[in-house]
Amino acid sequence: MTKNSAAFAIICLILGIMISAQYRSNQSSPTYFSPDRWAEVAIQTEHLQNQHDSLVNEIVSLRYKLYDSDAATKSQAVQEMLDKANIAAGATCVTGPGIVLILDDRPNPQQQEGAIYYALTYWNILSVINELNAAGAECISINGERITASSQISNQQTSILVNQVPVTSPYEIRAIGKAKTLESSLNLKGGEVQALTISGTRIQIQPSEKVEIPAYSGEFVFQYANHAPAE
Amino acid sequence: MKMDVTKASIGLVSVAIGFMLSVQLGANSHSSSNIPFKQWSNQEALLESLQKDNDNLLNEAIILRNELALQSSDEQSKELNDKLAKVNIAAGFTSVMGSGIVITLDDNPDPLRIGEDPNDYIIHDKNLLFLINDLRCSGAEAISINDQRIIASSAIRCAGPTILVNTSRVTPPFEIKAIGNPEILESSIRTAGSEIQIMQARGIKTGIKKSSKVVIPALSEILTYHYAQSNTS
Amino acid sequence: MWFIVILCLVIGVLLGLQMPFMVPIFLTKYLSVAILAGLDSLFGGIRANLEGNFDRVVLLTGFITNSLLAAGFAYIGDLLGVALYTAAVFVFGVRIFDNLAIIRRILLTLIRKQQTEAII
Repeated sequence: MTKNSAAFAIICLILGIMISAQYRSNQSSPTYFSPDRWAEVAIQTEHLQNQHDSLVNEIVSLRYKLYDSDAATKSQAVQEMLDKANIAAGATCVTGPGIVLILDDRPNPQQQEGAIYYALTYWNILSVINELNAAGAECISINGERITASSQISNQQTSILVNQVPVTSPYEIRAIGKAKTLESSLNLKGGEVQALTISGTRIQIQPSEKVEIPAYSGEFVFQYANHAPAE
Repeated sequence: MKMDVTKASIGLVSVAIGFMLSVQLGANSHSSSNIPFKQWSNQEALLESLQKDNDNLLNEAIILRNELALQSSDEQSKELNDKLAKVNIAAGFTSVMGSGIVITLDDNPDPLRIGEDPNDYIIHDKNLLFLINDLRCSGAEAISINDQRIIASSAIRCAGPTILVNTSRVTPPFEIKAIGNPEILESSIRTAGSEIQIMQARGIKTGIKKSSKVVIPALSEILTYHYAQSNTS
Repeated sequence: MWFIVILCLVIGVLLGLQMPFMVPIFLTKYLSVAILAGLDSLFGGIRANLEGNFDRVVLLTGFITNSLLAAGFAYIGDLLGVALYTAAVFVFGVRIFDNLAIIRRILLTLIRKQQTEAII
């Protein structure tokens, strides 16, 4: 091989390696430094900042209650903590403004013969609960069963089970929160309510000033989970 | 006459070049080349330190709460303290530890083939929602997604390219921890028709690992109830 | 010459695909202008070869310095917040097109000469 050819050979080799290295790198994550992701990162930073501030406030108030207050304030603070934990866990019944959502998927006697009948599945119920939570629902119950952090929602043959208790149509879902927000979130296009309406389920949303949601009817049993020691 | 034609054609070409340059510069101002790498790495370092700070603050808040509860527990019976401890776990206000499983999920990394829908290759909010439900139906006592504790009022929804859990954004790869009986949890979520199976069929990368020591953190945000009031208060 | 060029390009591409490590993502922008500069040197070398005034030292030094300069140019542009990257793309792109045009013309002349010689 002549020296001239060798020169060509070398740079073509290097060029080939560079090209395929660049190609591989570009294939793996082309949007890593995109402006979309920059916007995401900015939003995330703001969110963490807000969380930081609210945590600092909480600590300041806790320290005050712990070190600078009398016994009465202390026990009231503990009572409030217990109260909040009870609501979050689902251990007490709660009342407040909100909505009552009724989903009726029973065959409609007024429908013509041969009309397709769509029965709600537990996936629909799960999606509705998720939408309500996304809209700020603070507590939810279905046909009297309180939704907790470990609530199971499943199918057993033809009925839906919530907290392992069978529930039947019409399904009455109660949610406490800002009634207007809850109602409009449910009615958003592309949501579960819209999909169910199209498939024939009769839906009613009733806002109310006084929605009563019962406590979880079962026991809180933790066989495997224990408090983790503080770091 | 010829000079005018020459000048005119030069003028036309210049206009064209100017137009193309301005379009290119305009397009360029929206591209990532304007955000230098240093700024990216600074921002990401800031995020990391904020996250660490918040974790420490949360720990401190939990410790203070426990101290407060202890201080006022002279008159309270042991039974009440136990109830408080249990309720705190159910509420997601304390971090928990126990045996269980850790599931890892990542979007399908293979390049898209012609005719395939790119949505099939990514993990959606509904997938996570149904997977969490599968875990609950298998007896999971506590669950978290990328260290976001799942409680009764947790919502999982898509927000642009990321997923919102509670109020925090999570991105793939997802690490889902669940505390419970490891054997039952693992076999249940692998059964036919489960969400894991559905995702695997679409090429989502899934990994399931049993563990005797799964640590699930507390809820990372401060919950306040604006509307709900317990009937006993 | 053509054989060497194509063979070594293919070998280089295959080697690069097999590499165990990936280029860090933030470097890809600089690598892309470096590739453009490299291509410019390559086509310049092919053209010089066809014209008869090929100098391998020019080719090798041009390849290295242009690639480094292009990447450096883009990097300084990032530091200053000016899209100098675009200028590098523009310049090397123009030169590549120029060289390709000249190569095309030389090849066509050669082919035509062969055809007329064949007839004669």
